[in-house]
Amino acid sequence: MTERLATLLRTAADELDVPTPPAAAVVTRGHRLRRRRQLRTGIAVVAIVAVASVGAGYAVGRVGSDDGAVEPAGPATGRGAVFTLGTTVFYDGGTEHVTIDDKAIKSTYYTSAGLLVRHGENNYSDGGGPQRFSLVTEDGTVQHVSVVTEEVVPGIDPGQPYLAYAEVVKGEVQVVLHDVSADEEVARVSVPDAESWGGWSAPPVALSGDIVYVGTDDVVRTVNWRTGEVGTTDRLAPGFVSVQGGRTVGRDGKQSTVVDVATGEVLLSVPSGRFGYLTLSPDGRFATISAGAGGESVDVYDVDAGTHVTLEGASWDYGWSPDGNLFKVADRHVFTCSTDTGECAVGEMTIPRSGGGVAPDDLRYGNQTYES
Amino acid sequence: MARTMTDDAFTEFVHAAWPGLYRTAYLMLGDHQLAEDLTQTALAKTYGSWRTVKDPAAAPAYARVVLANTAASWFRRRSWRNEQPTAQLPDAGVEHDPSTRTTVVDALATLPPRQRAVVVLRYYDDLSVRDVAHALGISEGTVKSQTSDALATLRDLLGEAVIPMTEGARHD
Repeated sequence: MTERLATLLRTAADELDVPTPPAAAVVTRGHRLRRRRQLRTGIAVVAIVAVASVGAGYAVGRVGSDDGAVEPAGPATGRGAVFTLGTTVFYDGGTEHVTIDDKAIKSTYYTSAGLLVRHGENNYSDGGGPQRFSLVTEDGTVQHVSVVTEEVVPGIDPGQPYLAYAEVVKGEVQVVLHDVSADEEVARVSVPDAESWGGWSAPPVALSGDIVYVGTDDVVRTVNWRTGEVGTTDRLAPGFVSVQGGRTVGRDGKQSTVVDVATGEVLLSVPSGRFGYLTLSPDGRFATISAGAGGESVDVYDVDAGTHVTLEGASWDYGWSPDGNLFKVADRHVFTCSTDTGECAVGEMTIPRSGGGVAPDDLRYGNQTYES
Repeated sequence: MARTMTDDAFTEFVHAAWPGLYRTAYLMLGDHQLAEDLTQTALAKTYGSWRTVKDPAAAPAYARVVLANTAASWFRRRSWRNEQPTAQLPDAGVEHDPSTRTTVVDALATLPPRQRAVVVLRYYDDLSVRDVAHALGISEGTVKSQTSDALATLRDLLGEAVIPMTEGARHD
């Protein structure tokens, strides 16, 4: 019998000093791996096409032819659950909906001007071709936004009407701020010493107030888009940047923390063991952490008050509404859960099974990122 | 309708899966730096397939297979093959009871890499012969023979109290 051997192995493993998981580095490295794979696939396809073209040309020839701030999102994004199903956008708790005229929706973002929708030929955020944008305003009007990006991770601050992103122009990284309400570029700042990042066409960014955080490999750079000042911060891990309402998550021993990125002040500290992990709401007002080993429940903290409520299920089961409550779509109904009381209520609306486009049954919650 | 996994879900998954994967990696490799690199590589590869993961509950098992598969590819490298098993103490950095850990971890260090991986996957991760074969990209027969050889070596080092003689003949 090998029970004794198994026990010895488990004991030895339990005694190991396991390092803290470098989640941002894993995402950056993973993206670089995928990008390399896509490039190889692309090169292979080009090679096949080239061979086929040569063959076709030869055949034709033979025939004879010669040819920041922590504020809730604006009212335009509604007061309840926001989610998409295929190319249909549901808002105001699922009671209202509009359709986006494209093949698929990739993700949505809460802004003070309305719901910014990223869409394109497919529902991929990464490696899926051009990323187009539309703004759904309070009255349900869909406005075209002239920005088209590809292979970038944009940054949004729910309290502002801006889309931030980076692009490389003549070998230089530039941070761009686009007012999605007026549909005009309001700032463009060069980041001259940004040299490498995780495989995107330009570094991923996050926006909070006047600061755009630029996720490069060596250090996270900060760009004040109003003044043009460029600096660095060591309060964020290099790579994929994540800032919500000027806040980010961190760790101090066995405590998980919410930290003010600008000041470094610890705003919330909760016991989480060595591997628990806080996730912030889009505006940074709330943070969730799985409470059970198997994701049986989730604790929802009010970061400023330090209080919390507990909900059933894993944190990834839920989305955030623009007005700061949690929701989920299950059994074709919307369940909204109060962050004050933890009580959940089911909406009367029955959600359709599909919503159009090339991925009609793809359900995506508002303001969640799907870069992977 | 179907939910697509989000970045937040992946990040949470990394935090949840890291300790278990790291421990497996360390037992396989006996080196903290290599274990960290292997774990990071396995999770980065998992990220590449994240779009297709529909059920978060399936992700840990998937990542474990990727980790074992990556380790197997490392073992196939010429530089790795040229390295001989060693009875030297693994690197420091472990808080432990010397009477337990030095014995079993040091004994593992004497095994060739693939035998070591087979033992860890079978007796630490509790995978079946078929699952170990799948994870390492080898046949079930090879898993059985490697297990047998490894247990014989470990029996010599750890004693029959840990691995009784009858166990050497049990292949599945």
